[in-house]
Amino acid sequence: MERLTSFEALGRLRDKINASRDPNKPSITVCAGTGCKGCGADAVVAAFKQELETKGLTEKIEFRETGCHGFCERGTLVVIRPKKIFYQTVMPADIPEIVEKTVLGDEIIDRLLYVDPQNGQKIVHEHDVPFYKNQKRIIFGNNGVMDPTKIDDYIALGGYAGLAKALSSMQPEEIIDEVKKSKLRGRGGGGFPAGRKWESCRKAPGTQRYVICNADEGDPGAYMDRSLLEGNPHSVIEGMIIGAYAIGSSQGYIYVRNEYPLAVANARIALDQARAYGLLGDNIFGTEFSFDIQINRGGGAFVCGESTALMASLEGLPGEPRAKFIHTVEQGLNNKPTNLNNVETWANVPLIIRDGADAYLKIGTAGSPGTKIFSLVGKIANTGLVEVPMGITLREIVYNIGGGIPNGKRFKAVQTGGPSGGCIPEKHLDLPVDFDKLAEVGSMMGSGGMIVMDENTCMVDIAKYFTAFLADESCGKCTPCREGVAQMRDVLQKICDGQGGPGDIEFIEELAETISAASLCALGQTAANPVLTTIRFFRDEYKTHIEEKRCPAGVCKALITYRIIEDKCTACGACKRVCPSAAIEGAKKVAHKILVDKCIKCGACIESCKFDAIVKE
Amino acid sequence: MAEMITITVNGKEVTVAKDTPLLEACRRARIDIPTMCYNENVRAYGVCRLCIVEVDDGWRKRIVPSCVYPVRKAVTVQTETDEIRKYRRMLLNLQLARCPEEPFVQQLAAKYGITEPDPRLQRDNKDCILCGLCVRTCTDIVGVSAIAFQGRGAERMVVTPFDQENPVCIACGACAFICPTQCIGFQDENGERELKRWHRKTKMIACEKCGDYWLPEALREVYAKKMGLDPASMNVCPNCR
Amino acid sequence: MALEINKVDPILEKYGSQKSALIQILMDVQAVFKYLPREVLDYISDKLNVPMSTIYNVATFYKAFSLEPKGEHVCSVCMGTACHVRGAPVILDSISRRLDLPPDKTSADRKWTLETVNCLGSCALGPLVVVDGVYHGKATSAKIGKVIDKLSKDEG
Repeated sequence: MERLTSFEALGRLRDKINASRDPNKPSITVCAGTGCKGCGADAVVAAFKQELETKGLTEKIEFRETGCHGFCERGTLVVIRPKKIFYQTVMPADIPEIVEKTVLGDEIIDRLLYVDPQNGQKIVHEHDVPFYKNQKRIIFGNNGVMDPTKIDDYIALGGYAGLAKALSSMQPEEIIDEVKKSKLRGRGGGGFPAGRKWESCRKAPGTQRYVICNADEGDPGAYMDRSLLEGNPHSVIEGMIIGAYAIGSSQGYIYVRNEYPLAVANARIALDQARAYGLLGDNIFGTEFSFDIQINRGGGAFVCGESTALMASLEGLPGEPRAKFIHTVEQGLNNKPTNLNNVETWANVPLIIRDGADAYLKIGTAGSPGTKIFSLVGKIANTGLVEVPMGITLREIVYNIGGGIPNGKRFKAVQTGGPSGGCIPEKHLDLPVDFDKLAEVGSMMGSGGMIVMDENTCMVDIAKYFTAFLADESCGKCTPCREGVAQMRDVLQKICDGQGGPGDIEFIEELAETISAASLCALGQTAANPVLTTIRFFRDEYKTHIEEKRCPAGVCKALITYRIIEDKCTACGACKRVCPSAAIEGAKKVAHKILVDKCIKCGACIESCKFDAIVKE
Repeated sequence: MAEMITITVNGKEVTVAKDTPLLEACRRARIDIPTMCYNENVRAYGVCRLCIVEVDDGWRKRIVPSCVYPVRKAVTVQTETDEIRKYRRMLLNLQLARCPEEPFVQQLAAKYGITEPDPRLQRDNKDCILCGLCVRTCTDIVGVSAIAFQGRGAERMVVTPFDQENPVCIACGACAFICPTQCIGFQDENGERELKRWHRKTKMIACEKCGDYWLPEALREVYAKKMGLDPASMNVCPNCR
Repeated sequence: MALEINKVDPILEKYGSQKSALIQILMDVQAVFKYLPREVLDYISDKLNVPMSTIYNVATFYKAFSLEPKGEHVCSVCMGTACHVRGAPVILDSISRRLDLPPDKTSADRKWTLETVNCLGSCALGPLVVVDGVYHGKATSAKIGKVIDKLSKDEG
C-alpha cells in the first residue's frame, strides 16, 4: 500500500481498483455483523470458503464478508450478484446448493427466498423486500457491499473523495459553513446543530483542540452505531478527519463501549489501513495537515455516553459528569476545546461535503434534514436496523418496514429515545419522525432505539424497567438523581407488587419535578421521561395496578396467576415434568391443574406446553 | 485587571469579578443560600443541589447550582421563589430519608418546615451525606488522597482502598474537621491516634520534655517538610520549644 | 502460586505508562489475570504514580472490572429493552434458580458467574444469553438450562 501524496493519486487509485473489478463477475456477500454471527454467519462463511476452494472457484467468484445489512431478524443474509438475489436464514448445509444452482447456474432456490407475510409472495431481489424498499439507505447502504477490513472496498465506492475535496478546495471556514448550511443535527440524541458546534470549537481560545467520536451507545435496544462502526468504519473516520481539519484539531478519539469487541477490532484495522495510505497521521494527502485518531474502550457505564463523563473517562477517571456552564467546546478534554459528535453524525459528513449541502437538504424535513438510522426491535416482525428520511411517520416504520406486530397481537406503544425518552401510543402513530415532533409528545429522538410493544407489554413494568436501569447506571454524584430515581423505582416496584396506594402516581410526579429540575446531568434530568410518558398515555393501566391489583398485560408476577385451560389440556405431563416447585398436579388422561399457592410463576410450564393450554391472567 | 460584572440578586445589585461563583456573589450581597456540600476553603462540587437558584440571562430562565455557576453576564437572580423552595424541600426530604438521625440534616430540613422524614420515602440510616468534602480536602489540600469514592449510584461510598487501612493516610484529621455531619471521628488515646472510619491507627510522638503525646508519627515527615525543620525536632512539642 | 507481576510491565509500556490510560491498562490486565488482583493494583499505583484510592474508585465504578476472580463458566443474560420485552427477566430468574446464584455473583466453588448486561446490541436475537462467549439467541429457560447442565456435568 503506497501513501497517497496528492489528491489526484486517490482518483487514480480508485480507477485502478474499479478497473480490476468486473461488475459482471459473480459475487457472493455474506453478512458478518454481530447479529448474523450470532445466527451462525461464521459457519456460513467458512462453508462458502471451503466450497469455493474445493471447486476451484476462488478466482472466478468474488467472495466478501460484509458488515451488518440491517435485516437482523432474517440472518444469516446472503446476496448473490450481479442479479442481486437475496437469500435469508442461510445455513452451512445450503452452501453447495447455492453455489451450484445460483452462483454458477441461473436457478433460484425458493425455500431461501424472503416471503412477504402480507401476500405470501416470494421476493427475489433485496431492493424489492418491503423491509428494504421503504428505506433510504444513504449512510447504511454501503454496509452490504463492502468488506470493512478492506479499505480498497471503501475507496472503490468513492470513499475519501469528500476528504480530498475538503483539503484540496475548501478552507476550514468554508467546510463549517457547508455543514451549517446542511443543518446537520447531532444523531446521538441531543439534535444540536453540528455546524454551530464545530464553529464554537474552532473559535474557542487555545492551541490544542480535540475531536471525539462518541460510540458509547448505551441505550439498551439501540445498536446502530455498533453496526456502522463494524460495517463501515471508514465513513466515520473520513468524517472525523474532515471535521478535524475544519476545527483545527490534530488529535481525535473514538470512544467505544467495551461490549463491542468487533467494532473495536474493525475500527483498529481501518485506522491502520488509512494510515498506510497516508489518509491519516502526518501530512495527510501530502499536505501540511496532520491528524491522528486513538481508540479508547469504555469501562461499562451508561453515564459515559454523556459528554463530560466520557471526557473524564478518557482522562482515566471515573465517569462523573460535571457542570457545563462553560461548554466543552471551550473547556472539554484536558480542559481544552473539544468537539464531540456521535458516530452517525460523523458518518453523514463525507456525504455532505462530497455532494454538497443543497443535495442533503432535499432529504428529510426542514427542521431535520437527512436520514436517521433506527434500531427497530421488540414486538415487531422485522427486527433490524432501518434508515429512513426524517419526516416518515411512525406508522410507516412500524408497518411498512417493520411488518407489524407478530403473532396477531395488537400494537400498544413504541418507545423512542431510550431511558431518556418516552412511550408513544397508537393515537400518535401518524406522527412524522423528526427531532421536534417527537419532543412535542414528551419523548425524544434519542440515539435511535425504537422499541415496539404489544398488548402483552405492561407499561408500568416498562416504566419500572427504565427507572431501575437508570438507578443502576446513575453515577451517584448528585442527590436528586442518586436518591430520587431510586425512590421512583421503589414506588413503581411497590405498584407492580400489588402494594400501590392512592397518591402514588402524584408522588411519582412530585419526585419527577425535582429530579428533572435539579439533577446535574442529562441522565438525571431526563430520568423521569419514561415514567411520565407512560402515566400520560396509560394512566388507566397504572390505576388498574393500584386499585384493582391487576396487571392487564399479564406481566407483573405478583398480580397474575397461571392457569391451565381444562379443555385444551391433553394431560401429556410435559408441564408437570418441568415445574421446579411441584406446583402442577394431574394424572394420566386427567386435565392437569396448577396449585396457585406453590406456583412461583417461572413460566417453564408455558414454555413446555405444545397445546397453548396454559395462560397468565 | 479582572472584568467586573454587575448582577441583580433578589432585586439587589452586586458587582463581582468575572467567573466569580454565583454563590459567593450572593453571599457578598448578604443573601443567604442553604448548602450542604459547600465549604469556602475547598473546591466546589455542586452535588447536594441545595444552592440552586433561578437565573435569567435575558435569553432564558434556568435553575442552576450557584456554587459552581460562574458569573459571566449581567444576570437577574432569584434565590427563594416558590419553585426553588419546592425543589429544596424535596432535596432535603431525600437527604433526610437517607440520614434521618443526622442532626446536621435535621436542622437544615427544619429551616424548610420539615420536622420528620416523609413517610412516602423509603428510609435508610446512613451517617454520610456524600458531600465529598473529606475526599476533596484529602486530595486537593492535604495532598495524599487516602480516601475516595467507590462504586456508583446507591452504592456510592467514601472509603479507603478495599476498606482497609491505607498507609498513605497521615492521620491529620482534616477530613474529620471538614465533615458537616461529624461522622468521621478520631480519638487520641494511650499514645495512639485512631480514625475508626478509615481503620487507621498510628502511634503518636511523645514530647521528650513534657511527655505529652502531641503529633501522629505519620505526620512527622510531612510537618517537618512544611515547616522547613529537621524531622528529629518533632520530638519536642511546640509548648516546650 | 506467585502472581506473575511481570506480565503487567508490557501492558504499562504499551500505553506509555500514561495516567490517562488507566482504564485501558486495567482492562488489559484483567484480560490476563481474569480479574484485578490487589497486588497488581498496588504495583500499577506505584508505577503510574496514581493514588491507590483513585485506582480503587475506577475499579469499582466501571462494570467491566472485577476485583474477585470470576467463575470458570460465565453466563451473561442481556437485560436490554428488547430482550426485556421478550421475556428476559423470567429467563434470568430460572437460570438464577438453577445455579442457586443471585445475579452478578460468582458461586462459592468458583465454577459459575452469573451476570446481567445492559444490552449487547443483538436485539434480533432476543432474549439473548451468552454462555462462555457463545451467543444463544431466542433463548428459553429450557434451552439455557440444557446448556448449563451440560457444562456443569462436563466438569465431572
